[in-house]
Order: sequence, then C-alpha cells, then structure tokens
Amino acid sequence: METLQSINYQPARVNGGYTDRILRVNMGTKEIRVQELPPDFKQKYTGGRGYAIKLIWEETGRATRYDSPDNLLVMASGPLGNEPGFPGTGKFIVGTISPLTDTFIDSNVGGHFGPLLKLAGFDALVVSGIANEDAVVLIDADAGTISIAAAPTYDKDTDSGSLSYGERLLKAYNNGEYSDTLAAVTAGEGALHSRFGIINSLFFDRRRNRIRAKQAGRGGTGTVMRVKKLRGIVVRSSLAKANGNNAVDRDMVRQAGDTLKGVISKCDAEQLNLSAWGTTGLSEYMNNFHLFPINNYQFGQSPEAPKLFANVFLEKYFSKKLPDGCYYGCNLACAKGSENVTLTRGPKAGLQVSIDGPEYETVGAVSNMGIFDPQFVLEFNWYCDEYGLDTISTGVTAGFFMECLQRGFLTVDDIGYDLSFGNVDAADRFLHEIERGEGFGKIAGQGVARGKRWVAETCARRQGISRDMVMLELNKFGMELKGLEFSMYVTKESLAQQGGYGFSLKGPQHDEAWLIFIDLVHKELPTLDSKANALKWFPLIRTWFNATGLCKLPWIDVRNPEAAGTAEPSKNLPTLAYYVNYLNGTTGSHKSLQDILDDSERLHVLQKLINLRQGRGTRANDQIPVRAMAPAFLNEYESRAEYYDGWLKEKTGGGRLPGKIEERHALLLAKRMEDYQKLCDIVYEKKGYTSSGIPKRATVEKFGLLDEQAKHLLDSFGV
Amino acid sequence: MVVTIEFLGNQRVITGVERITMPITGKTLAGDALKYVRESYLGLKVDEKSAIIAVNREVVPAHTVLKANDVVCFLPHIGGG
Repeated sequence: METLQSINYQPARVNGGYTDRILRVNMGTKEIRVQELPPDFKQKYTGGRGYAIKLIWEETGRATRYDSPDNLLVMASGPLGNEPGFPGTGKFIVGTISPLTDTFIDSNVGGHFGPLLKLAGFDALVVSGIANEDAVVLIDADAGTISIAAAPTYDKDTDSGSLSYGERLLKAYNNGEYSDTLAAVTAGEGALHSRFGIINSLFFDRRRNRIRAKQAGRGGTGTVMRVKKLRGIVVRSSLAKANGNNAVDRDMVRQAGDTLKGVISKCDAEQLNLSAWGTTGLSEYMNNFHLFPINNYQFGQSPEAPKLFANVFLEKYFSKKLPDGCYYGCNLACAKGSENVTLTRGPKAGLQVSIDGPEYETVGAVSNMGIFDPQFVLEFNWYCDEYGLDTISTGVTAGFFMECLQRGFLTVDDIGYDLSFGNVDAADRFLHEIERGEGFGKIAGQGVARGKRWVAETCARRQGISRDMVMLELNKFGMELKGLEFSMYVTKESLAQQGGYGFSLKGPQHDEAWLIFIDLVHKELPTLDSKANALKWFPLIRTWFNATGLCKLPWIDVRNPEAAGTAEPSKNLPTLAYYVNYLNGTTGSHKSLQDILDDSERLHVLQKLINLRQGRGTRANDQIPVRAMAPAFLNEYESRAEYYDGWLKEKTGGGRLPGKIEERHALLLAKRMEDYQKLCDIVYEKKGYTSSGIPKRATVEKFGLLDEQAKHLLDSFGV
Repeated sequence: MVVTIEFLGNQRVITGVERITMPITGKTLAGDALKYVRESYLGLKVDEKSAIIAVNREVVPAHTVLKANDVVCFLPHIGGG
C-alpha cells in the first residue's frame, strides 16, 4: 500500500472505560491528529452517540450536507463498550449528516471495531474532508502508527464489494492471515450509488474461522464514507480484551455481568430464544398480531408468512448450536449466520457464500415486497451487505414503487420492467440496478422521499394533472419520515408506536422507541398519558445504550422474572439495575438510573437542536404518513373490516356507524389523525417543547446547552 | 367444551405441533391452560412469570375464565431491538 500520510503515536491507556482522546483524520488535507478531550467532555456527552451529536453540533452548520467536506463521519464506542464480562459490549455508533434526512443520523453496529478502536487509544474517530482518490486509514496500536494509504486494488469483483474488499484488506494488512486483533469497516459500490449505503463492521470469528460482518445500516453512513473516498479503515490492537476498560471496581463489574448472564441463560430459551433463532423469531409474532409488513405495509399478516418464520431459517440455513455473539462474552449471541449458501440469482449466481443473518428487519424488507421465498431473503441479505446497501431502505423503497405500479401512478414502461409485488425476478433486478446506479436503480437509489417527487412528476406529466395532487396521494403510502424509510413494523393499530416512529429524531427507526408490542399486545400503555410517558422514557434510556457502547437486546428482549413484580414490567427495571452497577463499577461514578436518564436527555435535546437547525425539527416533521396510522386505502380497511368496524364502535361509544364502508373508512381516518395530534400535544409538553415541537428555552438551559448557536436558533423560531 | 391452545415460535418446535385442544369446564382458567401444557410437554418451559397469556389474541390475566372455542396462546415479552 502506498502511504500518503503517517504519524507515530503512543496509544493512551483505557482508564475507567475512557481514553479521553479522539482521533481526527482529514481526508482532504491528509492531516492526522490526536486530540485530548477536556475532562468535562465525557461528563456531559457520555460517549458514542453523545460524542457524535456534540461534534456534529459544533463543527457542522445549517448548510452542511452529506457530501460537504465539513461533514463529519464519527465512529465511537462508549465507556461500557469492550468488556467480555458483560453481555453485548461490542457496539459502536456511526454518526454523520445523512444523505437521506439532511440531518444527524446515527446507526449502531456490533463487531470488534469499536472495542479495538478504544484499545488502540481512542474514544472516537472523526473523519472530515474529501480525498482526491480512494484511500484507506490504518490505525495500528501495536506499531504505534496511524496512516492514510492509497486504497489497494485487487480485482473488479473485490474492489466493488464491501465484504470482499474488507476481507482482502484485513488479510493484506496481517501478512495474509486473519486475526482477531484486527477489525475493519468498509463500504461498497452500492453505497456510492445510493443514499442508503451502509458500513460493514468486519471481524474475525474464530469459531466459524471466517470474517463476519455486522452493519451500520440506517441513514446512509456508508454513502458518506464513500463520498469521502474512504474505502476502509483497519484497526489493530493486541491488548487483552478482558478488563480492557480497566474498570475502577472490577468486582462490581464482574458481579453485574455474571448476574445478567445468569438471567439470559435462564430466560432466553423460554422467551424469544434469540440465542438459537436470532431476531428472525419476531416474524411469527408480528404476523400473528398484524404487525408484519406485507406489500408496502398495506397488510400486517399473510397466509404465506410462515415460509419466512424462524424455524425455516433454523432448519434450512442457520448453523446450529454455535455461540454467535458479535463480541466476546455475549451469551445472548443473536448474530446468526449461514454457511455455504449457493447464490442462484444476480451477477454472482453459482457462487457459494457465507451469510451473516438474516435478521428480522431483512425478512420484513422482503415480505414488504410481497415475496415469501427464504432463499431470496438470504440472497437479498448477502447482496445488500456486499453492495453496501441498507436492507430496510432497499425493501421499503421497492415496496413503494411496487405500490405505485399497483395503483397506477407508474407504468411498467416508466420503470422498464414489471416491478410488481411478489415478482422475485424484478426485485432482484431492482437490487442490482441500485448497486450499479443504472437504469431505474438510479432513481430508486435516492430512496422514498426523493422517489415520491419523481413519481409525482412522471405521473402528473403523463396524466395531465397537477403534481401536487399526485403528491398528496403518494404521501399517504410513501413510508418515510424526515427522509428516512420506516423500519419493518406495521404501526396502524398502535398509537404508541406511531409516536415511536413520528418523534424519533433520526426518522422512523425503532431503536429510539419500540413500543408496539407493549402497547398493542401486552396492553401496558392503556392511556394517552401512559403512552406519552413511554415516549419520553424509552428514547432516553435507549439513547443511553447508544452513548455507552452497549447492545440493548440483553435488557429489552430478555425479560427479567423479577420485573413481573414491578409497577412497569416493560421497563425491565431489575435488569437495568445491573447496567447501573456496571456503569458505576467501570467509571467509578455513583449514578442512579435517574442520573442516567438526565444525561441522555441532554443528548436528546442537543440532537433535537441539530434537527431544528437542519430543517427537520418541528411538529410538521413529526407527521407520519396516513398508512402509518390507519388503512390508507379502502382495500386495507376491507381486509380487516370487522376489526375496524369494532374499533369505530368502541371509539364512538357504541353509536350507529355510517352504512357505507367508504364513510366508515373516512371516519376512521379522521379519528386516527385526531388521536395522533393529541399525542403530539401531550408528548411535546412532557418533553419540555412548545406545541410546535420546539424545545423551550428553559429545557435547553436546564441541560447546559444554551450556547450562542442555540440562542440564535431558538430566537429564529421565536422561542 | 374445549379450547384450542396454539403454539407459536419456539413452543411449536419443542412440542412438534401447531395446536392442541384442551377440555374445559365452566370454571377452567387461563392459568390452568398454562399448567396443562407444562404437564403435557415437559420440555416446554413456560411459567406465569415469563409468559403472557393471550386469549383470542387479547392479553388476559391468569384468572380469566375460559369459554368454549377460545384460542389460547402464550407469548414471550418482546421489547424490540
């Protein structure tokens, strides 16, 4: 590799979970700089998402877009990442200004990269600028060097792929051998040709004896990476991972970890069984309760759905009985994988590949296209990873265009082929065209928000009607908000989850608030007030997980039996108590759960300010499509007419309903929209926002965030 | 009188069946259905602390009286990723 720039450095020791250093790499100027952080930085911004939010707030501006040189790509674990004695500590976040939303996005991802980056001496890596030619960054703590090198080239297939390129890079940098002292992140060619490019986090799995990959999937972080002409980053550290955080109180950490591992061992097999099935187990439960996306979220259930249930993947594809954690010490081990799958479609047909996944979201992305073929799920999964595409955004965008065809907004000629629901060949072509940025893929790769504009213009031109009229219709079923495609849950019947998506600062991704089951099925949020409280509490605690380098699943998807005796079982507070101990044991702090929530609220408010600055932060930006709150069209109402009639009767106090189904549908829409507006009012009040969804000055001040930029911003909104 | 007990997810794999019927009297409770499947399938680990009982897709307390032709299932807690 041709070295373009290199520095020597002495890796900082991790103390109490922190190194208090960040690494700065400017791809444009080729400057590499180690920055010491002031002591109060971690107190105020925690780590992970918090660091990314703070840096984006300080160092980008209203005009910054995903492809601006001043946009930052931040990768950061957190103080609790990298502890094999505690489950789920391999997470790091990637934060940036998104190509889809034009505001802050972060995506959390597992693997070894975050922990190794910390062991290499950095709490965060911040990449700025745009290179002239493709380059890679090499952080070698063992050698004490950090370099920018010209991106090596291999062959066409390898160079365009994300997985393939990462595998070659990891091998090339370690004398032709894989090692778990190295990890890498890469982005593929598809990331360059779409707005929803992912970053793969690659690491060596000794048990499977191959490189595995997890994905920072949402919001186009991989696109930003490729725009910066950054092909990959490799990090190396041979430091021991055990007690890698140099915890202040090792016994406390050990005890917290052992207790949580005990709960997981005892309870997971009786509950979701994530250790055997991964997250694919969700499909069956979602389908049973009409929450599984079918045909662009028109329906939540299909008689064909059992073809995509977990047992199908377990029996036919998953390697069984392998502890599949994405980082050492996680006994939930949900990162399932399939070996020796022969591709039957696309340019690599005939090739035998190993596939990491599928996860529930990828299964839902395929059912959303009306496809119920498990082999296609596997292939879609692999190609998206290799190309560097988000499976969710790809599936939702496909579903949107399929419905445009179904409802006559587009013709086969507009697309160039019959992109109908259930057409596997067409879905396959769609995927490969996006990767190449060719044909209809050039349009589809822009995502749903921009796709709507293209469809409106195309349809209006052909039919001689106004573009705005078409747009009104498209807005009913174009499943995006703030520019981000919805993740894979049908929210029509859960007001709490409608808010979970609507108020989510990054756009409709469930990692801020996944309330659909506790609201709709468990009925733990029966009142508007309880829903609003959950819509404040859950995003805060979930933010904390993303700020500390932790996976949420051991907390939220393994219910501690002791939770049953608490006032709010869905919060799983007995397990959260282990996390509080883990934090205090690691960092030496003496925080309570409330302190943690307060820390998170600071980050949440700051992220909201970024949204405001970027034009995505008001009530108008929280308005979800009609389809997310009700049956958008009559066929959806008809598919569950008895249910909807019953809902209306209950809502109208048993009164007489209109005789015509069209009128009942209209009444339902009006009621659902009214409920959502009421929810907005109460949630904003609880969060300390104005009724326009803008943080009040006192709210911003309370968290020490009222700097000059914030003052001007609030002034501009008259707050 | 009988009710149907449906096995979802992992329960279906362990029991090897999709559903069974259980005879009921006018006093059989939802919690009795839980005991019934525990006794019928020893490998199935469901208890009142970890499982949620749903009757006709509605979550109910264990003391709910079952009616003829009810459909009962036991759900895990799902908190989302």
